[in-house]
Amino acid sequence: MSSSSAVAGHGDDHGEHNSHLAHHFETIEQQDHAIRLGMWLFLATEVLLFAGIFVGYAVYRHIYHETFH
Amino acid sequence: MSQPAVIDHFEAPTDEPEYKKINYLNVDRGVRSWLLTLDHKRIGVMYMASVLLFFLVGGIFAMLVRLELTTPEPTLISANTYNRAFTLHGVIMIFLFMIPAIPGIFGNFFIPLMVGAKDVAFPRLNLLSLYVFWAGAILAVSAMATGGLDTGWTFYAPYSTTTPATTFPALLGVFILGFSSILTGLNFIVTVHSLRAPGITWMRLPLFVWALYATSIIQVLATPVVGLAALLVGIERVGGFGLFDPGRGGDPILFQHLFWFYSHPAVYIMVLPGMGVISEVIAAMSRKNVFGYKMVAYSSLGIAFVGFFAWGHHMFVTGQSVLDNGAFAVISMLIGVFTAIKVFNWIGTLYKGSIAVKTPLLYACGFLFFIVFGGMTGIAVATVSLDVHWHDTYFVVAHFHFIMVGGVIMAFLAGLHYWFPKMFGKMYHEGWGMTAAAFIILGFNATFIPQFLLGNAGMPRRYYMYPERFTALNVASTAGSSLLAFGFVIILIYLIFALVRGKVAGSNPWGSRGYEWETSSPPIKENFEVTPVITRDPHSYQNPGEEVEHVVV
Repeated sequence: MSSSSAVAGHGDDHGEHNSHLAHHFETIEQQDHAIRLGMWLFLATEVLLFAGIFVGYAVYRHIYHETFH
Repeated sequence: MSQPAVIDHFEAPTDEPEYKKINYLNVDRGVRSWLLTLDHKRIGVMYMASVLLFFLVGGIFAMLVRLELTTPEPTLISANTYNRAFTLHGVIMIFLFMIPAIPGIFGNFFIPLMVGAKDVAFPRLNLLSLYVFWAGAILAVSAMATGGLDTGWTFYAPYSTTTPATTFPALLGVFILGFSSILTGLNFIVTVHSLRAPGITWMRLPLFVWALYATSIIQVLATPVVGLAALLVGIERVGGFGLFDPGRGGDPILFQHLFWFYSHPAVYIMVLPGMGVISEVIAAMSRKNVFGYKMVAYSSLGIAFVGFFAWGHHMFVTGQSVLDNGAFAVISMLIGVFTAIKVFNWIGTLYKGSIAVKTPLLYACGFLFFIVFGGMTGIAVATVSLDVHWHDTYFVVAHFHFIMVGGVIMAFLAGLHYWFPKMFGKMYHEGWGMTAAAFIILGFNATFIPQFLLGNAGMPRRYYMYPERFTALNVASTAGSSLLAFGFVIILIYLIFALVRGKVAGSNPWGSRGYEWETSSPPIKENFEVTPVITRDPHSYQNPGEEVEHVVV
């Protein structure tokens, strides 16, 4: 009983009256999950964006080993 | 609080087709309400308008190239203009049509509907991806038009770093377009993970969503690499660092590695969504859920994964080691295994299905044909000893047009016809639809089968002039391409007619049980009146004790 009312109260506090909760999310937890996942994916793409520079550096360091010393 | 609608059975379409007076198309009015919308459906429609415009432009350049090649000597345009024309054709068709077409239009429109959500996870990011697409497209196209880019769509160094044409703005345009693709992919992955309605487990996701999910992984992980490769070429030109200049110890092959690390997976960015569309269309048109659902779903992920390790098959003649060549060849052939899993399962779905021969099904059959023959020639060119001879000939041109362009266009048109009533609530004319499908499928074959023969006889790709003996096949190819173009003109006319004066389609004219049909057509702004609770599989057509119905339209 207490748990169900807690869930309902939770929905009231964070759900309909929470200005941070976008309309297409049901709960704030769902929204947090989406935001975290999105940020991690963005970081993954950034790593790969700069991977090209690191690969280039690695290749030329390997070919011209002497020059880098 | 209203009860959630439990969807565990299927209601037959009502006799009176209904058109919701207030829907996403007319709930807000004015240009501003469209340009600032966060509604994934409107963004999908705007993607559709832009992508179709670029398809038209790319198609005009294709026709220009084909017309030029009708005679062995100069015909219409100068050699330099010819180089620019095929570059424009390639860049526009790949970056502005095939990559954004199905994810941008159908992905945006249908992923939230298919997972029972109100919108994608990040609606603002979604709108941003459209604006980034427009910015990149305008930059790339205007730069190519004024700067005369003549490198082909592959931008191979060292030519791209030494050509007198202006390349930097066009490369920057491609870089920006890549970000649009990344944002779309990121949005879809998060949407599928976090916004599925109650009851839609991973094993109940429609196969279109599975395919787009696999595509999104490629978009997120591969696109940044080509972005940087393009930027490096630009930096090399502006700064003159000699990164790809062998004269100063640079390595032009490094460019090819970076380029194909994206651009080979990009082929799957183009064709995987198409495979998703075909799964939906075949299931709906044969009144069965796709045979071997799990295998079709997993094979999308398989293609996405293996696709990352196959790029070297574009580089068999660059002098990479025999071991590398062999490894890349075998990995490339693995893609054929995953594709075959899908093809056999689609045919297994059609087998003993209650088939409705409608326009979408014709395109689905065309898709199967092009995927099988394009795929078989793919295995052929993945064989190193054969590819050495076919490399850079029209055989390769015909191969990738069959598998990639044939696949995407067939799937795009199948999806366009299957979902047209869903998106706009109107029905196109079935007879004209079939006529156009016949023109397009036959025209496509007539265009590219001669090119297989040309390549096999030794005609190199991208050449302006060619020996007399290739004339007949080149003329045949151009004649075929005019059939293809004619087919598209028919479609344009009857679809515009259907939009303006078409019959009202009703919520579910196909009697399809894809989740996206559980709401009205066109959908309301919030997609569903209440969040749906799904208790059945997608495309499960048999209710207990009920006969399977045929398609009604």
